[in-house]
Amino acid sequence: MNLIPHRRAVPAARDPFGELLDIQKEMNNLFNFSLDRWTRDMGLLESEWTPSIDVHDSKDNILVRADVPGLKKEGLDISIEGDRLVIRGEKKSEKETHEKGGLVRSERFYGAFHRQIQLPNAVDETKAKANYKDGVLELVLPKKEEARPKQIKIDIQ
Amino acid sequence: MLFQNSPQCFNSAKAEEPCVRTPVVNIFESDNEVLVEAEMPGVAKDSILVEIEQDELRLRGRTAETQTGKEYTTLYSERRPCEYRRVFLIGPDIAQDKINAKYENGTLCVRLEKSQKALPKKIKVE
Repeated sequence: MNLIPHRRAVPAARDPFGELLDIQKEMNNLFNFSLDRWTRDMGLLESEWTPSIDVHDSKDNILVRADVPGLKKEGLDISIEGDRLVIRGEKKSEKETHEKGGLVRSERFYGAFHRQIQLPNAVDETKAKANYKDGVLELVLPKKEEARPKQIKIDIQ
Repeated sequence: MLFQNSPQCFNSAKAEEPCVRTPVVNIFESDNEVLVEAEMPGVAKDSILVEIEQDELRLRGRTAETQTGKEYTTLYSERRPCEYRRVFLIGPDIAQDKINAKYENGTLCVRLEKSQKALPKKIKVE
């Protein structure tokens, strides 16, 4: 999956046609980037679950956040393969709770998942930091020195 | 207005307001308790509300505001600030004063005990 630049829509000021345009834009967006996820989320194509992610980019770092509720820290496997970030994991149902009583309603997904993200720059995986809290995984990936934008000062004569 | 009632998640003009989501749940039931597990990733612990009123169990939680430095530009965004809300009807067999809730790894676990009256009674055969 390629990265698509994120643009925030400008709010239309009480203009019905503007709102129509907004809706059209949203509909276009819907099919541009989330059809893939939607179909997966709804189990139309596969029964696989993919976590929602955010990717932010700065001069020095790439910041990635992913929603992976119900996973334990140990259940996550994060790797950088070339210019791709791969997040793998497995959500295991807690046996203990299952034994305590019968499952009467089941909506949560269990099992393995994996999500790949194309990174905009080469990153130094040895300095990557990961933090997992409240079901949200946060990764800070420092860019490699040569991948950082350089400012060249040109003297105007 | 025509579009006033459109779902908030689709309405980009209102993107600043958190949208409301229904958390997915698993429910387990045994002879003496009911366990509800709701997936609510990234929720601020102090925003979690678990309450019982008459025959309703209400779960609520708002995602914590995440601080992304000004130096960052967003390349890709699927996560949204939202409020998780869900209401369940509970039967009269739940002891309303014996409820405990725990938030761990993005999952809210609510344990409801059944009242003694509702427990099945074993009768010895003499």
